[in-house]
Amino acid sequence: MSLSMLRYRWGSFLGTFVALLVGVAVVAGSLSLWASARPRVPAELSGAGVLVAAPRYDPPDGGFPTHRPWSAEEVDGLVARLAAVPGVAAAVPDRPFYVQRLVGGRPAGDATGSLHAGRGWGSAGLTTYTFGSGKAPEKPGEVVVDAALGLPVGAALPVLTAAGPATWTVTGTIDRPGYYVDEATARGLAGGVKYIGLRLDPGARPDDVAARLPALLDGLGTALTGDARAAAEPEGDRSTRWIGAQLIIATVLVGAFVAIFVVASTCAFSVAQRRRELALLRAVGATPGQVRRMLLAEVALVALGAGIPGALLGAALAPLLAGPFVAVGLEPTGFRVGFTWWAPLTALAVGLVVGVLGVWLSARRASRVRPLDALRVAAAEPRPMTLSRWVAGSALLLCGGGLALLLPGSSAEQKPTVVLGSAMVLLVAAALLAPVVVVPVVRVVTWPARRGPTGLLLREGARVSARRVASTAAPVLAAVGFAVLLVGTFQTADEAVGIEDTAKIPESAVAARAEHAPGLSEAAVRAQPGRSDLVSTVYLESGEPLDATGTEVAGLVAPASLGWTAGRSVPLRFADGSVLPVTVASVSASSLTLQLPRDLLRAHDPAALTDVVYLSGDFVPAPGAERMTARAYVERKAAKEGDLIDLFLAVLLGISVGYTALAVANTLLMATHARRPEFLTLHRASATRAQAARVVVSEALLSVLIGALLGLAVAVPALFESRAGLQDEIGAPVTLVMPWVTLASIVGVCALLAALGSVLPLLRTGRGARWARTMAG
Amino acid sequence: MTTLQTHQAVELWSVTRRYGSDEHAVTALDDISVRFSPASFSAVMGPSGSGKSTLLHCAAGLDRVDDGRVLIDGVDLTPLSEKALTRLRRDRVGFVFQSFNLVAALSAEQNVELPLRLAGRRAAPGQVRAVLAEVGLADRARHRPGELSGGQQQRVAIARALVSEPAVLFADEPTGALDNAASREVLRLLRAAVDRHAQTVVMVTHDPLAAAHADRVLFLADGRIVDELREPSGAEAIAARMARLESR
Repeated sequence: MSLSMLRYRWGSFLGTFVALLVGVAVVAGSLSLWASARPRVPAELSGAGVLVAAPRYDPPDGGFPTHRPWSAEEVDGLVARLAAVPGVAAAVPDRPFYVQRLVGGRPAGDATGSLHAGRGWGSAGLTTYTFGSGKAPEKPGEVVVDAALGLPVGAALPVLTAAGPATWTVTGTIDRPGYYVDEATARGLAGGVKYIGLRLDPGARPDDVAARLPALLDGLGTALTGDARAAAEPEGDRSTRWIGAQLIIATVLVGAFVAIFVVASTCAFSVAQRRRELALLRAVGATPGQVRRMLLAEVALVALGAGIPGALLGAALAPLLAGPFVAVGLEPTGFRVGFTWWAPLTALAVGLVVGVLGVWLSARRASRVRPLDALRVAAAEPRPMTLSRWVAGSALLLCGGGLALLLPGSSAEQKPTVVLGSAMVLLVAAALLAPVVVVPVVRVVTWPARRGPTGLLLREGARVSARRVASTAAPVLAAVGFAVLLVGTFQTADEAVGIEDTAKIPESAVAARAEHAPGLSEAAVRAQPGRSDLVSTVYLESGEPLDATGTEVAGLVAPASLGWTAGRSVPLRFADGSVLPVTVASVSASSLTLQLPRDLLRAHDPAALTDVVYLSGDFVPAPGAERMTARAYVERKAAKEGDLIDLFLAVLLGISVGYTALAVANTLLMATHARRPEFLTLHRASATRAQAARVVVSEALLSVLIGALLGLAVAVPALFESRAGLQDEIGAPVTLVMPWVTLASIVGVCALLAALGSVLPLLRTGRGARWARTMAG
Repeated sequence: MTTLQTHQAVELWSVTRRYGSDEHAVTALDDISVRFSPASFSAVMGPSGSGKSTLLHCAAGLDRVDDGRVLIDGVDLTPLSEKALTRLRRDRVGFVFQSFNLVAALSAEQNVELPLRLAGRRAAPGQVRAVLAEVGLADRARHRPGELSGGQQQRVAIARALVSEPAVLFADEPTGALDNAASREVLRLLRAAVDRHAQTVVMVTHDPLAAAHADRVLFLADGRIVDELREPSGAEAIAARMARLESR
């Protein structure tokens, strides 16, 4: 029977169908991306059957685990012992380092990827390659490169490394990306070794070999096989992927929320319209439970019908997103999306749950329709506000308000979550309570036109059908609320970050890394007059990593948070793995990182790059460096973050606004369609078609206005709240950025859709006449 | 059940129904007691606001009573839950309303089968067709209500009311929205149900011509039964009684 209902009233299920189709596609696509974005074994190490990783440190607060480097002696000892293990053909310490090709004196290519583009020739044995031409590098200055670069053997290759520019000679080409140099050069350019790859004898099983290792390693490392080797991926890739995961999570959450919102409002509306039919069913013997189950079954069928193509669409489109995701820095280079069987299936299940949740309340309401209502010829609209609506609306209002109060106390990472969470709750509350404000707002707005027939019809129509107006206003409310809150919060935060960072930079000119370089080489820094900080990492005995800054200090300056006292000697493991006892010279309350003499830190971390040099004289041109003002430098940093935030916003807004536009058009189409008999009566009462159109369009625009006002009522206080939180954090006044352009364009789009959606069914009066006859018969 | 003691299809005992509260309260039914025996065709008449529709709603279990008791086929409706009441309506009561009788999404056949389907039963093979044939619509089984005339829709509604062989069939102004020819056909079908299948029919109407088909006509005014006519001799006699009632 549900199927017959669907077939007959497919029009009123169209909105639910499209909402679920799009929603399931978004979820399926996101999950496919998510599944493909699991950590991967780095291609450069894929030929190592077993990877031995240096001791791991797991932060107590649950952050990413880290590995501390081995010292040179530890590496040599381990390599010797590992090479002797049966089944191991070779034990190769992995020494990735920064190298970038210079084209016309400028670094070229991907900055992030270049950080581990260089390796010792021995590492080539951990992957599968074929020589194109030439031979292996034997002495410093020789390099084997990717044949795809098109360089012949013997060609001179200008490169930039952490030490500075150099010119290498190509001795061979292979069919893999990367720059392979002799071991001595790699040792000089790379930081400490964290992984040793084991190339196995033919026929040796990785698990068997790994089982022989623990006794031999004696706590100096862990043997990894299979997918566990993914732990060796570069840290930069891991954090890139983490950002991508945040976007995917946010997309799925917002997508599911908006889908529930749209389905719920569409279903609520369609139940109100089908009141008499449901009453008739009750009269001829349907129990309340049967009515409820029928509505649930209808939506479940729609969810299946929409979910299957949606899930396939999402899974099919996801691979196309791989390129853009890498381009904007949401996924590491080499990211590819494959088909994951559980992604579309889970999305389909999510679609079903969303549909059922969306229809749940209206189904309960429908099951309470009394059979007697079938006999009422002019079914008056039920009271706009029911008790449950009041209770649920007020409860959510309090709940959302309470969440917003948490904002000032929450940390910077939690902030967006709190804002988003409280906004969602408040928007639902506002949608539930919307009918309350409809009548007063309509009265105020129609005041100037109270004498005319349009004003009269409008005012009385909205008074009788506050629920209908509120149904149309609800999606507008969600779109405006979301947009203003999201865009406003992020733009305000952007402003605040700019203020904060500029305040820290005293000098007016800096030497910063050039566009495609990840940082400044030692040579570029040395050439400049001025002050700079070298950023590196040192490790405590526990393996805990600490940020270390190489700067103009005579001895170790420790942050007070570590609890060290001046004069105490602490053993520090440096980036190259060597352990030195360092005496604490002083303790600084303001510093957040360990400060060490720059030369000491540089001696133990050949790979470290410098971010920026604060110039005290004239800039000296050097490859990979460029001069800019301090302000421009900060702005470039902020812009990079800003680009990512803009992308987040664009995706989230695209989903929520796209959905709500759909809901606005759908609700109005349904409403106007159902009101045709009413307009026919108006027509008979000598109203022209233009007059009828004026009434519907005015009412639709009024709904958009009410939705926009309610959306602002939720978003603006939350925006002020979030600004107050920022001000507390920075200790300086922050300008509130009100996203007028976003607001205007969203309201504009909604108004346009509303006008079209309301007037279209009216134009097809031919069918309207037939409809009216059916009603009367 | 007490089937041994009762031979009535529907019984109302001192039924009172009030709408609204306090000073605005309207008494729609005022201490009414009436019985409808099996295989009888009764018409309920009265001026608008006399309570005739309320009587039908209360007797059919569509509306609750404030005082008194209602029994259908010997079962007391007063203590029943909404679900039990729905089941009782489904099994023992048939309805024909003035309009909007059919589910627009379902074909004539499906509409007729609806009460059985809701009861979780399958119609016996040919049962639905047979009932449709009885109302003369065997050839319209697959048509949707939108493709049927008003009279045909009403005949489908009668078929649906008869299919579960209820203890009583309630008809609320069944001819109210029909022209003369279609009205006559609907009334003929109701009469036939009583004569051929021993069906009990209770019909509310304001049309003396319709009431003339009944065995017994009850006249309501101000929530009370004020007059009764058995074996009415014709529409004129009924119209005369009505006229007297309305001029009071």
